[in-house]
Amino acid sequence: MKEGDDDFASVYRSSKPEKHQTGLYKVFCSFVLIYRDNFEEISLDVSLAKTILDTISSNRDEMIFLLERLVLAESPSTDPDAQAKIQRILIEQLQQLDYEVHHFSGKTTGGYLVARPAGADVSQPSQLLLGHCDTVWPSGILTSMPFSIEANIIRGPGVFDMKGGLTQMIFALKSLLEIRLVPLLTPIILINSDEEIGSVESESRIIDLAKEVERVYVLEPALGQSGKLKTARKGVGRFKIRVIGRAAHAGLDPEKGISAILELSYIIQRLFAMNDYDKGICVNVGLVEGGLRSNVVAPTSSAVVDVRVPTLEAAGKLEQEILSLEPTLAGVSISIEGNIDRPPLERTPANQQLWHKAHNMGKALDLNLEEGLAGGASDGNLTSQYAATLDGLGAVGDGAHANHEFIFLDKMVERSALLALLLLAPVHEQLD
Amino acid sequence: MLKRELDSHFERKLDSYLDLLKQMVDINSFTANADGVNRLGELTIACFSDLGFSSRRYPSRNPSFGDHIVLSKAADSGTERPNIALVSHLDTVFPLDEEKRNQFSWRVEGDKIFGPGTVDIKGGTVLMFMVLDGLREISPVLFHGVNWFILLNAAEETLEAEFGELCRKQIPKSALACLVFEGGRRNNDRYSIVTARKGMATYRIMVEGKAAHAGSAHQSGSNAIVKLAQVVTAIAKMTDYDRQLTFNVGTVAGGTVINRVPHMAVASGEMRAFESDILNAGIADLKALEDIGPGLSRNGEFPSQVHIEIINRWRPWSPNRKTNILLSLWSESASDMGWEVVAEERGGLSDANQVWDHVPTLDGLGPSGGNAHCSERNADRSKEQEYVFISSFIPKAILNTRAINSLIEGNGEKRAE
Repeated sequence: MKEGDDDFASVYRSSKPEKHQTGLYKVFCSFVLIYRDNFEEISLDVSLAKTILDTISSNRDEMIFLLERLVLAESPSTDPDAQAKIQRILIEQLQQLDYEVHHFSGKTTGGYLVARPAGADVSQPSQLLLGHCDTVWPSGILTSMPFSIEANIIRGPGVFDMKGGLTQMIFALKSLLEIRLVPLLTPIILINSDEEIGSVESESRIIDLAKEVERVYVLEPALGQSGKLKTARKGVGRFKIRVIGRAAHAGLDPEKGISAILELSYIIQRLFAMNDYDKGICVNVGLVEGGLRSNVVAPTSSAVVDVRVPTLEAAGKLEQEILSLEPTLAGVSISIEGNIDRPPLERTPANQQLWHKAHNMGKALDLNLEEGLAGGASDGNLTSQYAATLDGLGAVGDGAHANHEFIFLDKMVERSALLALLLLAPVHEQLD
Repeated sequence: MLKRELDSHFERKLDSYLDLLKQMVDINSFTANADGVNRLGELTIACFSDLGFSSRRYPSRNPSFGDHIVLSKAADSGTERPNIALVSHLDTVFPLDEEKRNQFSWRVEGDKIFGPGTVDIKGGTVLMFMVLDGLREISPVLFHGVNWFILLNAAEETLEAEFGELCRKQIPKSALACLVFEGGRRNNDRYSIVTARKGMATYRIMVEGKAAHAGSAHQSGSNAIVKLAQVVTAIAKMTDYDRQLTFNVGTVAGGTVINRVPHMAVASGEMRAFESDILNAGIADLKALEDIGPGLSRNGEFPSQVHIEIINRWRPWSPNRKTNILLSLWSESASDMGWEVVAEERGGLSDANQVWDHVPTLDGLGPSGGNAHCSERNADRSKEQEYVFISSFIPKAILNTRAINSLIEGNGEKRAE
C-alpha cells in the first residue's frame, strides 16, 4: 500500500509555500557534471565538501538544540503514545525542509513516518534514509540520565541510538537546501518507532520501500569510537524450545517421572556446541526456566535462544540444525519454534560498491573511513536483500542500550556532512 | 483376643468415630494456620481425655505454626510398666482459600470420604483413637498397664526438626515402640506397613558466569545456563537405582534477556537414599560438582563458578532389625485373621525418620485412602481430591489393636522369663 491511499495515514504537507524552483535544478545539473567527471579519481570537489561542512558547522548550535528536543521527548518503543511527541518534532522539521510527511499509525506501536520531497516525481529514481525514533529507555529515565553536554561529549537516552543520527540527517538535508542542491536520487525518509522491538509493524513497509529505491542509508550509530561504517551485520534469530516430560513424586516414585529439566540440559549443551566463533556463528541460550518444586520430577521446561550468523548460507544451515533437534530421553516431547528472521547484512557487491563510494567521499572530508561488522541486526538487514545498503551512518560514540550512552559532538557535524555528500552521489550505473 | 469382640465394638461405635473425623476435617489446619491447628489440637485433647489422657502443649519455634501436643497416660501403679508412643500430626497442606476455591470439604460418596486430611492424617488420628478405645474395651488391664505417649506434630508437612527433638525428649528410650499413623495402602487383604523411609537432602545450585552482549561480544561471555546444564546432566548420572539413591533437579531458572549471555542460573533439587552412608556419599559427590571443570567462555579465561549449597537434610529411616521385630507382630496379627502384611519401604518422609533410631518404629498404621495432598478435581476424574476408605478403618484398627496387644503381652512374658 502506498502512502496517500492509506486510511491510517495522516498527511503533513510542506510548510514551504513554493515548490521546486528551476534555479535549484540548474545548480544541481552543473554540479553533477563536475562531479561525474572526477568521481573515478576520487577527487570529489573538495570545495563542495567544504561548503557543506561549513554550512552544517554554522548550524551547529541549532543542531544540538534539535538533538536536545528529540532526547527530551522520551520515546520507549513499548509506549506507542510516547511516540507522538517526537514524531511531531520530526514532522515539523521535515516540513520545514519542504517534505511531505505521512504518519502511518500503528496498532500496537507508535507507527512510522514516511517523507518525500513535496511534489517529487514518484517515477524518478530514489534513495531511502532509514532511521527510528524509539529507544530502549523507559519514560522517566531522564531524571537519572539527563541530557548533558560536557566539552565534546553529549549524553542522554538515545543520543547514540539513534536520535543523534536523526539530527544529522535533518541537518544534512538542510545543508543541501541551503546551498541549493537537489540530489539526483529523490530522498525518501522512513522513521519507524518499533525498531527496538523488531520493527513488528514497520517491517513490510521497509521492505516495500527497499524494493523501490536504488540504495539505502541507515542512520544507526557507527561502530566503535573510531566511527566505522557498518558494511556487514550478522543475521539474528530467536528460537523457543519447550520440553514436556512427565511429573512424578521424586521421593515416592522417581522412576515414573521423566525430567524435562534433564532433557533441556542435554539440548542446551548441544546448542552450545553449535557455536563456531571462527565462522562467526553465535548461539546463546539466554533464558531458561522449568519445573515446579524440588520434590517433583519436572514436567515442563523451556529455553529461549538467540543466534547470530554471518551469511545467509550459515543462517539456513543453523536454522535447520536447531529445528531438527531431537530429544535424548525416551518419552519426552519437545517443540521448537523460531527462525532467523533478520537475515544477515552481507558484503554483497552492491553493498561494497556503496561502501567504496562512502570511503571516497570521506576523503573529501579528510576522513579515512573504515568498515566493520556488527553483531546486532538493524533494519538494514531487511533492506540489504533488495537494495544496496550502507549502515552506521549515524552518530559516533558508544554505549547503545547502556547507561554510559554518549556521542561526540564534533563528529555530528562531520557525519552529517558525509551523509549530505552521499545523498548527492549518483548511482554507479550512470557512470557507465 | 477375639476378632469378633473387637469387630462388634468398632462396628457399634463407627458412627461416633466418623463423626469425630468429620469434626476434625471441618477444622482447617493448614500448617501455617496456627489458630486452626490449635483448635484441632483442643478437639484432639478433649477427645483423648475421655480415655484418660492428659495433655501438654509445646509451642513451635516458628510463630506461624500451632502448638505441638503431647498426650500422656501413666500406667496404673506397678513396676517396669512398658512405654508405647503413638505419633500423628495436626497439620494439613491445604490453605483455607484453596479448600474454598476447590470446594474441598467433607463429602461422602459410597465408601469414600473426601476432605482435607481425611487420609493424611486426621483419619490416622481417629484410627489411633479407635485402637486405644478398642484396647481399653477388650483388654482394660493391659490398656491401663502401659505408659502411653501420644505426640501430635503441629507442622509435620514442613519437616521441621523440632518435633523430632521433642519426640526424642518425651519418649523414653526404653519404649517398646513408636507407632506412626500415616496412611497405609491396602489391597484386598494385604496391608502395607511402612518399615523404612528414605532420607533426603535438599540443595540449591547457583552458577555464576559472565554477562556479555550476545550479538557483539558473545565470545567474551561465559554462559551460566550452559554450565548449569552440564551440572544437571552430571547429577542425573549420579542416580543409582541399585543403591536406591535418587537425585532430582526440580527447578531451574536463569538469564535476564535473550540477547545477553546469561551470567546467572540457579536450580533447586533434592536427593534421597535409605542408608545414611549412601546419602552422605551422594552429598559429597554432589558437592564435588563445584569443580566440574573449566568455564564455558571461548578461551576458558573466565571459568564459571558453581556453588552447591545443601539447604537441609533429614536422615533416612533405614531398614533395621528392631523395626522388623515389630513388623512380625503385625504379620502374626494379620495371619490370624487370614490377612497378610507387606513391608513397604517408602520414598517419602514422615516423623518416623526422626525417631526410628531412638525407639523401634513402625509406620503406615493409619487407614487407607488416596490422593493425599490433592484438592483439585475435574469432571473426567483424572484429578480427584484426597479421600479415605470408610471400610479400611475397622480392619486396620483390629490389625493394630491385636498387634499392640501382642506387643504388651510379649513384653510381660519377656520379663517373666
